[in-house]
Amino acid sequence: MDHNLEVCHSGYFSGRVPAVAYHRVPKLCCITCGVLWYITCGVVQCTMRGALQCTSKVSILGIFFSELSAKEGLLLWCQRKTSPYRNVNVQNFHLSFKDGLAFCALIHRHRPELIDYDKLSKDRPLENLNLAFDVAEKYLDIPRMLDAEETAANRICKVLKINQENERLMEEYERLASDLLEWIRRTTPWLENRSTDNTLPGTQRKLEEFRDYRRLHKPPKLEEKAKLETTFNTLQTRLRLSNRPAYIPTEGKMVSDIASAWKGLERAEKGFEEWLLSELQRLERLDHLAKKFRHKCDIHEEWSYGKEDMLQAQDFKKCRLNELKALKKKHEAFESDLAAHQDRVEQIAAIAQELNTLGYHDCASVNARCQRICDQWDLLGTLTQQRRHALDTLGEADKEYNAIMALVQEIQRISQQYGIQNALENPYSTLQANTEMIRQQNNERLRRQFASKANIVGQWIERHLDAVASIGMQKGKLEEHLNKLRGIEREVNAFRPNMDELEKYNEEVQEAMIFENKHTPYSMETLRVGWEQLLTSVARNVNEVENQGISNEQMEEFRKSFFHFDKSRSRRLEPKEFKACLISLGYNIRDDHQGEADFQRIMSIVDPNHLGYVTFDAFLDFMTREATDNDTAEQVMQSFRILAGDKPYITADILRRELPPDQAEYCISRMAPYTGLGAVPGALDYSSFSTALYGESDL
Amino acid sequence: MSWGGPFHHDSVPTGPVQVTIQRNDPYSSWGFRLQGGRDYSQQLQIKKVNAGTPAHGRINVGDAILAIGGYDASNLTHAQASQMIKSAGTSLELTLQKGQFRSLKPTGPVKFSPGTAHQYGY
Repeated sequence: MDHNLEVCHSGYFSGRVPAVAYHRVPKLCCITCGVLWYITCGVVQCTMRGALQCTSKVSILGIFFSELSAKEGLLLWCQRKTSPYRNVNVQNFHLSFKDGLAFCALIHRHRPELIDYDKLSKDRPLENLNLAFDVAEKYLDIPRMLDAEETAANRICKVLKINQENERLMEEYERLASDLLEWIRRTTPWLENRSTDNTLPGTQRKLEEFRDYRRLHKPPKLEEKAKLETTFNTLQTRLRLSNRPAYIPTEGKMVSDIASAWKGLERAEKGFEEWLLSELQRLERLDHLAKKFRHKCDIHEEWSYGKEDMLQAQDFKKCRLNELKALKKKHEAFESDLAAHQDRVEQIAAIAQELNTLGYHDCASVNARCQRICDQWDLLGTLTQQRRHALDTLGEADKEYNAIMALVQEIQRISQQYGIQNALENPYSTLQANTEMIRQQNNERLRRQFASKANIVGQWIERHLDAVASIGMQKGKLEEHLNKLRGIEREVNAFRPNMDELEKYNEEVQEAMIFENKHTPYSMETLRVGWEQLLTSVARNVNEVENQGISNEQMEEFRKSFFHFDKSRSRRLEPKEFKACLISLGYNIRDDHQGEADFQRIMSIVDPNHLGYVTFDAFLDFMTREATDNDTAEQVMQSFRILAGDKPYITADILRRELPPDQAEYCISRMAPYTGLGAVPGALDYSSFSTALYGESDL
Repeated sequence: MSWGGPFHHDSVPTGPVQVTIQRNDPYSSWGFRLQGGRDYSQQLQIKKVNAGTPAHGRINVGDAILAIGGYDASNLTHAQASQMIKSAGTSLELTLQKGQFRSLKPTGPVKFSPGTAHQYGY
């Protein structure tokens, strides 16, 4: 009996046969059966990890054999044990065991009460295999390694499917990355182009285009970027969990390249928006100024209309003295009116000057009009002088003239006293004050409208970000985590209209040229970032949970173990507790200098910041990575070997017969010709193909 | 460049070791499996050593390859490194950083059995 325990401990199958199998049921048959089980399961199901290449010598039931004959020895033992059974003829470790009768016979031989052998039929292989595995698991403490249905071909299919899916994800990543980078490359110059046609309508059109970009063109790209990141993370998680080497995107398409290109885009976008808004502000001011200019010109031109003709009229030549005096007075009145207009013409010239300085788009017409007015003004001055001179020389009744002048002055004084001219000066001033007040009130309404929505949205986003972050830390089944995440994902999608509404409010705010808002700590920019973060973190977490790759039972195993050693219930393990925990999980950490060095290396992974303890999450992450590390080149090679009937090469015919068409072709197109001994025409090298799947090569 | 492998060679106490492996025939295999390379962001290392081959007993699973024939291997891709090793003639000189971690891992499904911990004095 000790001898057989030795078999298990010798390293031959250590680990493959769990501790319980030889501690709790130290029965000869069970051990032997267990060993056999692992070997046959291993061969049939390809989980045997090079056990037959071990160098140590093993003895089972008096059959002594060395490494090369281990298999034959075991085969001989099986033949001897099963010889009394009908329908069982053990010739090898795969086909002979395929119908399950051999397994059942072996169990029956040692524990006849467990199986009613006579009732079994060769025609029901799955039933037989399941019966044997069930009994072994239930009564002999030999855990079932794999389901009976899983055959070598299935194993290969599974592995190839992983590779094909990984390759598909890689292609998808490359395609998404190229598309996105190309779009960024095309869009950035547009955002960096800070030129307009210098008109308000033109610039407003540009703002519309920018809003279309924000509303229509950028959001799908943002989604693409999130998808890209998710694809990348999914891929890396899958690769890590399936023992494949990490994926490195082609030059210039790394996640960091995308991120920095995107950052560049957003920088250009922010600069563009700021520039566009300030440009609009400038143009609106110019527009306002130009309107003022036109308005003043209109009034002036209306006033000056016909004045040249009036001044050039020769009406005084044939009139009487009293008429002449009236004309003279009238002219004097005109002269003072003309003087009063001096200011207005100067104002018009000043506005024209400012329009020029600020670069108004239609300076030409402004200047032409201004020039016309100034020229006319000069002319009016000259004509006024000429007419005055003419009237003066003609006048003879100075006294009367002077008396009339006095009257005119009196009238002027009175008219000034009643402020008639001043009242006409700016008939719009009261109206303007009024519109300004209305504008301010409207702005305040817009601010409040944005703020109240922003506060709701901002808090909602924060709450949901916290919720996503806390899901990973909670106890519970992966399934539950996934359901919760899916729930949040649905909520987030349903919440999207709120973001759209807020974008609309933000546009109104921008249109009103409002730049600060004291009613909310959230800006549209921070909310957009938060929203994006929420979308990506949900996607990332769903992805992590879906790709955990460990079963609920395994998770429970880890949890049980961790909390068994977490005596203080702190959700942390001290290094000493952690070491005991690892050993309890089957880790071979020796109690010597080497063991300590090994342990320190594990500690540096689970406690990278040297905090002196291991959290449950770090532990879980470590164990997940370790536990799922059971998908190896060896297994695939073994599976191919079974399909190949133990030959070191395989043919296209066999692959086509055993595998689904696309996978068979996948193998055939990638397998190199086999060049070793005994190669037949068309022989393919499945060994180098198998190792290449995992980024390894045999040398 | 950061290595994705779980164990950085600098955490192992001993320094680099020079190992020479001989084979009779330049077309036979050395008997080990190579893993990693710059293209995989992973240090070149020994994944497996076959019993009864030239490599057996000379190198171990988990050893990291620092140089091949004196040539710095840290920037080699997987294909470049395997080509160099394949075409090394009858004598292959490797500079290794010894590592022993892989033997620590349980090889079957992990099962919690606290009883076994007491064997080790806990």
